[in-house]
Amino acid sequence: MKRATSLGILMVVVLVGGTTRASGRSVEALATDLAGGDMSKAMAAAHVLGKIQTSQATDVLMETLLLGVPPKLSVALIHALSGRSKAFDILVHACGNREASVRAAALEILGSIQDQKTELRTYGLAMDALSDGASAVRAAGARLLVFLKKRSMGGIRATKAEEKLLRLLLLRKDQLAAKIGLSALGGARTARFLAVHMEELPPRIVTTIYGALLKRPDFGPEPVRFWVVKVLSGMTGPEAIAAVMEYVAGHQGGKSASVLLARKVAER
Amino acid sequence: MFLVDRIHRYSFRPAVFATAVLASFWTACGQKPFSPHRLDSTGGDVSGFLRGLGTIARHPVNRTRHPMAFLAVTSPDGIAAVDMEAGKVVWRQPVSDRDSRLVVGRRNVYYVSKSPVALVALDVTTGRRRWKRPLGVVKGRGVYGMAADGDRVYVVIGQTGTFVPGKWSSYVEAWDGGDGSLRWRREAPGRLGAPSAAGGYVFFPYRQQYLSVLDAGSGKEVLRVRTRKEYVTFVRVLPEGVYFGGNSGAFKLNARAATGLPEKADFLRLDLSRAGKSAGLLSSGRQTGTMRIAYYWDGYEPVMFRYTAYDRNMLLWRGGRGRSFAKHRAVLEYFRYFFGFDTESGMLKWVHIEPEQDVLSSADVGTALLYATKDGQIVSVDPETGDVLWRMKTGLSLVGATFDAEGFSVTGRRVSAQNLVDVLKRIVFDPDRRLSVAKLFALTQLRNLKGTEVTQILLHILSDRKLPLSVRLKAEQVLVERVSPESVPLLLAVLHHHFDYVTGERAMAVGPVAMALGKMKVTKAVKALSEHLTDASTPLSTVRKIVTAMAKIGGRSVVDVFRQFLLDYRADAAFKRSLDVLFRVVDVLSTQGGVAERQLLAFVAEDPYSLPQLRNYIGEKLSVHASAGVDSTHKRHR
Repeated sequence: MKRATSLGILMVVVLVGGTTRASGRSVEALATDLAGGDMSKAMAAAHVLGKIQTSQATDVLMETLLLGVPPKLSVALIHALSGRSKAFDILVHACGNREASVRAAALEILGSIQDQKTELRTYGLAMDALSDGASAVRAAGARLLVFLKKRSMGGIRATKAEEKLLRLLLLRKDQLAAKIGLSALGGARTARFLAVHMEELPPRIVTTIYGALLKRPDFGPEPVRFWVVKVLSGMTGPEAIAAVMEYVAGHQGGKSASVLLARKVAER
Repeated sequence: MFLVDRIHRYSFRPAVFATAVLASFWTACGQKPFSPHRLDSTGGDVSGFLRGLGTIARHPVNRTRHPMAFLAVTSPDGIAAVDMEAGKVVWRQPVSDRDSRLVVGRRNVYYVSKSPVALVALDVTTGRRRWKRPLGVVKGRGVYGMAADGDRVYVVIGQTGTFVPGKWSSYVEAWDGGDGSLRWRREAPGRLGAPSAAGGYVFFPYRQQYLSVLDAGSGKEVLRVRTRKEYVTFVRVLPEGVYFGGNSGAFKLNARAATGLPEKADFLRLDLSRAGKSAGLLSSGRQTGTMRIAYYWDGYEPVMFRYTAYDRNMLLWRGGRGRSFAKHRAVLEYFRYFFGFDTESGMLKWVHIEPEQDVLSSADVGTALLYATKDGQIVSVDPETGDVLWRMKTGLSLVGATFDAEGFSVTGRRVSAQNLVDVLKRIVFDPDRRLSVAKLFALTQLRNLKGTEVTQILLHILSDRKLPLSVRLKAEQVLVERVSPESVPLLLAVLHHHFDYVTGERAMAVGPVAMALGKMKVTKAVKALSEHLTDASTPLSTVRKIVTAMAKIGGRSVVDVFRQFLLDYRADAAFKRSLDVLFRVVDVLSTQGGVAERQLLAFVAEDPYSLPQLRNYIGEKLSVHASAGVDSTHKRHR
């Protein structure tokens, strides 16, 4: 990750004119609150500035973030920059911060920036985040990945590489990120992987992911769905029963083999 | 009685009486061995004594003249004799009461038995018991040592327990090896150490500061040499001379030894400090965490009269000319390892590892090093090269061995010593956890060796988390201290590795590699170091090392990286415990940066979000610069 943003350029950003108001206070007054060193006032100011969609407010938020503030305030500033494509570089920079909450927040907000020019880079950051040492950051990376896939590609499944990465996460005992990613993006390969590694994985995570896969209309083909239902029917625990019941409920008039089997299991 | 008779015989005249008392006193003292009033011998006395001592033979002392090893065996307990020239066990006797080392004389092998404490003589050629004599050792006393010369054996017995000056007494007994009769016994006020005997004399460390020599025939004291700075805990009689000393080294007995000063005498000492900083891992005392340099057994420790673990950490040496060791070599034995040193340079020349079993006993017989292992192997090693010259498997289970093999020169299939780097690596990776001090020592020796191979080993150690932390820390130290420009590409390659949760990859040894590159001021490393500096997974301890390294390299690119780093973390409470990292960054910016950097520092010093200690630190820095006319009025534009 490159943090190409030049401090020199931003240092000369002058808050010109503009007295855009939100909550009855000017951007300048809010900027003063941000710079004042009082954390509660600064947090509140960041929140208010986040609602002011002007270039001036964006500049104040960006400059404050770039010049360095305590991590808690950084997170508030990052959230305030939601949806502002101008802040892309500084958010990328924040993705490398030592504080995990800052990184996770930056990943989350990167997803809110809709810009074709930066989308590929965002995708790269999401994939990189899956290798992060902090669980929260990996989960944020998985969420961003799912979000990007759905937004730009209409909810298609993960590529082989993405799916492999998520499955590896599962083997590395990161259930949160893997669950998020595989539930939303997994396909037949994931279903098979879970079956093969069932002994090594907690049953709860397996049933949760299987249940999530069955809920997705794009998951299949039918023989795979049938097989997943069959596996779930052999599993114990309330999560497995709930997953089968939900599948039945979601396919009331279904005549497919998997639905019939699920119905049979549910009745039993 | 003598004085009383004189007083009665003559009328009392004070002057005559006083003179008579003094004369009698001095006469008596002059004749009595170990007298506390005996005058120290002069250089002339020593020279005269050495002329009378003659030459000590360079061959085994046993009457067969064959190089022999006498083995204390177990399962079942016994004593065995090995003729090393013939390569066979010549006798084995069941002995269950042995409580000491074996001492070899011309006709007998001696040991001290327990319950009752007795001196036992076995025939050197058959192992048959010739006699056993109780030593009359009462409670509170013990045998300190024993030495044989020809057909006599000398046993030192003294008090045991806590040493109380002025209330301590010892004695030595001379026994005839032929019939087991007691020839003489001499009392010694104070501590008398384990003896050594040769050429018709018996040598003792006495009262920790004397070498005392008795005439073996009469039991009269013929020489008393006092040391002034060093303790005397041992005495060795070798064909090349008589040596005595303590933990720090050994005096060679000659006229100069009478000065008692190491700097004026021929004093032998293994000094590794000439070759670097490894000496800290060696100690002359019993410090923990060090390999002991023991020049010989401590004659005041009765426990050392048995085969113990002390035998497994000895310095094997022979005397040479003047202050030198023979052929400028000495070998440090440490359990299964033998480190051969050049005593002039202090450099390690070779290392030999006994592959399987601990070494129980060892000796330098002039022509070879000999040692016996727990599983009954007797091995001869070339002291110059570390090559294995000869190996014999007795099949016996041993507890100790005594060698009578001066000048042993039988060779078998020579096995060349391993490459020094390889063998040091083997020591470091030896799974035997008892030997961690030797691992550290091996690592320090790697520092003196050149080449990328050593760097690779050090990096391997640093990445092996199964190795003890102390070993990894030492490897880190060695990597940083070694200046090896040829290893730069290797070190840079290491920096390509970054942490990856998914694959389990870890950044390897980034801190020490950074320090090593920083020491060599490798500017090419700045980019890779910056990547690790800004990598969130880099621990703060490593960040500290990277910053230190980059500060040493310096330059514009470093200043640019540090500017952003300071802004990112100036307000991060995670750095409260690592403020030195930020301080160092500030130092670099203030010394290597320009006006823009000083403006940045002024801003950080004034901004309320900056950590208070950081603000103070920069404030002090800037006040120094202000006196040099630096404008530090940059403020945030708001």
